[in-house]
Amino acid sequence: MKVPTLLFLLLAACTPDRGAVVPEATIGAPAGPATAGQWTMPAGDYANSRYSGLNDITARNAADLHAAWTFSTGVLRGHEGQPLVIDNTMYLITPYPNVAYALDLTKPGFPLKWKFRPDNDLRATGKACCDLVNRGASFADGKLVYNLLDGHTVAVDANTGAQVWRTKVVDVATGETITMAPIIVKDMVIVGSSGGEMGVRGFLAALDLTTGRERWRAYNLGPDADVKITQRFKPFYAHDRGTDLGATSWPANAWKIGGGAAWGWVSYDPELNLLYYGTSNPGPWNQDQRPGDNKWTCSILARDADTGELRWVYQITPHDLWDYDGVNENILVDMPVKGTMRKVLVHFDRNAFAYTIDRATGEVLLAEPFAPLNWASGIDLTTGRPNVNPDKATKQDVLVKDICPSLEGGKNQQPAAFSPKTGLFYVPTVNLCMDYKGRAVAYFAGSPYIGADAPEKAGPGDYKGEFIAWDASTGKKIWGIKEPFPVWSGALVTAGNVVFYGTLDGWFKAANATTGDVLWKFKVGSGVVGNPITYRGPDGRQYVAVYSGVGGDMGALIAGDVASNVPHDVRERGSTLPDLAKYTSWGGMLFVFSLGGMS
Amino acid sequence: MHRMTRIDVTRRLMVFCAAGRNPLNLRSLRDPLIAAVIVMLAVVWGAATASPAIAALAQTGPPAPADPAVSEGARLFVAYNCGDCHGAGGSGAMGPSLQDNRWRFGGSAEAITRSIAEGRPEGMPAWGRLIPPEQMRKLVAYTLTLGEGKDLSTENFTGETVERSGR
Repeated sequence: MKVPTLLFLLLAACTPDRGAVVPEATIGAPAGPATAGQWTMPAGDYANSRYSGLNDITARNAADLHAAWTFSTGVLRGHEGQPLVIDNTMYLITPYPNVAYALDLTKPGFPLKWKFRPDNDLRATGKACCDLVNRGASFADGKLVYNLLDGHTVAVDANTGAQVWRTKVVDVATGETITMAPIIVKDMVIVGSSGGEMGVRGFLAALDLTTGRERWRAYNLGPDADVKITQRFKPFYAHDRGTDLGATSWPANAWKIGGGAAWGWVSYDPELNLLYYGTSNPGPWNQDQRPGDNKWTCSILARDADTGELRWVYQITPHDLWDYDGVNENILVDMPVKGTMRKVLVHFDRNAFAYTIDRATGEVLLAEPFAPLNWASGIDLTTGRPNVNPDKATKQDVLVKDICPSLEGGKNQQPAAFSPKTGLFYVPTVNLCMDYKGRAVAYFAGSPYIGADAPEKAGPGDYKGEFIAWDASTGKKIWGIKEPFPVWSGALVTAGNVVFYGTLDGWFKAANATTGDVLWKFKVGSGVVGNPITYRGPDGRQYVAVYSGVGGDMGALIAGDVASNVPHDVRERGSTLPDLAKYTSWGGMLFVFSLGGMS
Repeated sequence: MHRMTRIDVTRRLMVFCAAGRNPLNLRSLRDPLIAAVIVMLAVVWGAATASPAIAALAQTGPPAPADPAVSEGARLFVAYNCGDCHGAGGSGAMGPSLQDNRWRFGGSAEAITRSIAEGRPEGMPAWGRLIPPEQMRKLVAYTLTLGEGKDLSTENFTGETVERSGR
């Protein structure tokens, strides 16, 4: 090694991390001090920051991370979502059949306190579009609350594992399922459904935390009364004002089977008392069958948490032509934008634009591409509408080639993280494109209502995914780590200035949050589509935990041949990720890491 | 002249929707709800009438690929949304692959007819009251051709790949 190189390395090792890129940025609704060292909500806090104040693991010592222990969930399929850690107990939810485990972290070998095996209608396994995933539980009032694929929400006593209540939220026979993680606000459980490909009618609902009874249900499509639009509704853009737009922006009655499902993440701002969530694509995909804006599909909605009333809405992709669901997480941050401090939400959409939006009003402050795209030339900030590239507009019976991003989006449900230490967002992204041909389709209840063929392929450049750091105050990428496969895991960032993510081919990685240098990686049992968390164990040490278990839309449907346990369902490799099965097969394991491994 | 039964009416409705040169073209059926109502009416209408014997619907032995029933079956496979569940050409998607020559519920024409007509517990709907017998035979004829010439037992990463649509 040359002396100057050595000197540089020494200097680099002794120099503190560079300062924050956006120093004034803070989490909009941070977790309280009572939860320090735990992971009590799906995203760690109401803001969906996925940031932890733990700082034992740092950019300097992360290279000493080792596997501490593992746990098999006993279930295959895509392990999206994340465990919770509360009072030295870890709670895990598996993909269908949605078994819940409570692991006692105080005892050697982490024995189960209990497991809960819910009644879960087998039909759901043929109705869920994109593998049999579950994105996790919430915890409050001594209860673990989560959703079942067959359309129920259950509450389980966290001490005993006994079912406290069970509420049927949707009817699986019609193709409606639930995969999202509920959040608990005050004494309400907030839930939405999946089925944008099955002709459902999307909604958000609040269940009573004590009894499971429905408090309110607000539809995302239909007349104002159903959408809970009142005089308190104040959308920022003029074209979103009017009567019954959720019905009149569709052909007659098409909204009744128009999709707009709320299957993603929900955030909450306690100060404004607003819930934020996004809605899925309109159905069917074939645009010729649904002229109009198709409100409020592919939209971000802000609702009063107590009443469900719609306060504002922003339609990200009006009259979607590409299956660009708007369900990705909305991260609540207070930060300067164009010289003024704003309460914003930051949203990395399927359509590959990153939006910085005033979360009190719905005004779009910034919208810049974060992944390769060609469907639009930009977002008009005066109208909020995209300038659509007519060459990439899809139609029935017309083959439109090379649309970017593909229907998986520049990013899908895998959630980003935000660090107040750097002021940056850490975003798992996808670089795929597609050809697309719409076709006429009829609605048969309980079967897909899609009407398009859209094979996907590699995007521009020699990579199919990239893990990036993003400055949402300027709309600029700061650094990126290119990956051979789409990055389908969520992100975690810590006060130790380390950011964690996993890859489809089964690497779990730690990177310097300031520089993007990969500090450490470990090959886990199966591809990672889950979201890492961190907690302080009863021994006082910091642990990082993540599911491995490839699956989900990308890991199961698109790859084709990653399953090995289904003798009657053997598939050829898909052309989109032709070699994924060379590196991984289905699995279902929790991996836990610490400095030096198990003590 | 025989009197038209309820199931006949059901099938006429479905033939109206699914047969002909322009299957399920909702340009002429602008309102998807109307289509939905037709389907639901058809289900209810047909509910009281027993389905014909499965065996009677099934053919014996796989047909030759040149059989016009096969190309018609391919069209119906798309028109009844089969491909949106089982993948284009039955390559596997939400529902299992139909190309692997492996059959959980049996691979005879009779067994496949039963799977389509009566549905299966993992979410396969029962199509018996929606799909008229002559169309059912064509669908089964097509399904039986999907695995022809395929051996998916070994994957050594040197062979072909198939185009898949995402969701």
